[in-house]
Amino acid sequence: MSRLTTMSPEAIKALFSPNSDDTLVVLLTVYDPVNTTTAVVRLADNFNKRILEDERDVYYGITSRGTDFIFIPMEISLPTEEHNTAPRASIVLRDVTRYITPLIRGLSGPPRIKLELVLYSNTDSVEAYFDYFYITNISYNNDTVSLDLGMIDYQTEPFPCYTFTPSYFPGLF
Amino acid sequence: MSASYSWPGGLPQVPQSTGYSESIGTNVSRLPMDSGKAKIRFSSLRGDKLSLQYLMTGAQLDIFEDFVKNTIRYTRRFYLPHPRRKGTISAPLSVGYTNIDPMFVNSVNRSSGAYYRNNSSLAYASPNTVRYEKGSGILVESAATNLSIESVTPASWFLGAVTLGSNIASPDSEYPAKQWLETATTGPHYTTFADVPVSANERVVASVYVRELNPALKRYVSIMFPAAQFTANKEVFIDPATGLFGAPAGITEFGSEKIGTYYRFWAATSATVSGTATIQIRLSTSISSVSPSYAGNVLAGGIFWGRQVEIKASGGPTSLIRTTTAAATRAADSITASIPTAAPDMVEAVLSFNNGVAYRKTEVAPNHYIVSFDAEILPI
Repeated sequence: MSRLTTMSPEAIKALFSPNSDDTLVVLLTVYDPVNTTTAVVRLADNFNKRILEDERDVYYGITSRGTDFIFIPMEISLPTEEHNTAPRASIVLRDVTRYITPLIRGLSGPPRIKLELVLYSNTDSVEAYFDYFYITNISYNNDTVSLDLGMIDYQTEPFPCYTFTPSYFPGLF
Repeated sequence: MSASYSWPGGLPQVPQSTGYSESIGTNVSRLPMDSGKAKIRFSSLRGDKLSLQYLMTGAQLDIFEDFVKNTIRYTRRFYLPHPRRKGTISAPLSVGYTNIDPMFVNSVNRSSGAYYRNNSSLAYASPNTVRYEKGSGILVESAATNLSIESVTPASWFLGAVTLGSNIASPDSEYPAKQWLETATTGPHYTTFADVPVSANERVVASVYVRELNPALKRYVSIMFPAAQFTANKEVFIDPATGLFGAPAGITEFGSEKIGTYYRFWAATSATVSGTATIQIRLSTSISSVSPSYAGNVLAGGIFWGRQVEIKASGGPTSLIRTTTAAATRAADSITASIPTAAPDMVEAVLSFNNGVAYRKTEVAPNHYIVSFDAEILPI
């Protein structure tokens, strides 16, 4: 089914209007690799308010459904739709505030990722979402953090799951 | 939490006009099409960028450098007095003219319609609308009552040895003025402000719009307060062609205001005896004769419109008030507007580095420096 059929008329207008004062905002939620229902960081690629501020910095972001998403400039390649492979996506974060790096260094497994698209003018209504992606590769330097996202590709898993090996069937050997 | 630092008070608060510029906009995504104009989509907010130059003494330059290096440490945001924007407060406008743009008006409350000047004519504002006069500003008046009936329909005024001629375009253009032609009789030629009740010690202000009728047969116009309520006949003349006054008799307060081809002529004096006064508008061949009486000429006279009698403690007449068969009151204006304050708008800003340079300083005179830098106002 086309993605357009699930989007609101306002979102479609924002996409196709010759002169649009609205845009889609990507919300990125990263879950804990161990406790996969606990979000450890929420990011957005745009902002419409101040989320936090202190003497030195102002943290901009977006509040969606009561939850704050911190603004970090990022480049996103949305998931592909190909027949032979599981969807893949990638994200490049402009981590100039050093907000992400300590989190990356503390990872103990592949974190689950959820991508959501909301309208700038209505951040509480999700226009599209891509869930159950996992970070399969991370690279970073002093300017950017690059994340490769992939889904579990069941087509490449063995079937049936058991094979005649000495560990499963020692009587045969 | 707001910014913790502010532009030091010891520094110039206003930049030089030379070198000052603002760059205002927002981030947009622009997608070229195969033909036609490109698609433009809002992308994200962007802060306004300022280029600023300040003239500082050596001592001020020390303050500035200490502020940049040690206080904001080049990067922290601080409150900067905006070079252009002033703060505003919403406040009621006081009686008189306030020279601000009507776009700054927040609320208007006046239960009646009212006249105001519109270039060289009068316009009539509906209730609860702003009266804005170019060059003067927004007009606010207290409530006032016109005791003179039929104020804008001179065809209904008293005929004292005069006859009515043609309609003439008035300052209002909605209600016409009238030609007043003398009858060929000897005596006073006049009309009146109708009968108005006055009390002793009340200051009475009478006003009427006048215009010359026939330059070849020069006539002057007077306002005359009757002796019955004002001790003696008190009178002052105006030349309706030039607005010049003759020597007044018993009147010290009078004036005129030019509106197009008309003069709004007024005179004021205090009543000494209570009663119903019939104040007169007189024609005369002389600018200084009191209670003129002369042989009329059917081709001579004047053009009159918009009479008004007010009880007023000081000053001239207020804006003309329409009346019909009874006295009428113009309600007071109650207008609140965003009025610029003297203090500039303080905006949160950060220094914008230009090729790694935070600011530049150039000595332009002994112990005087031009300090230039770019700043960006935070978008939210």
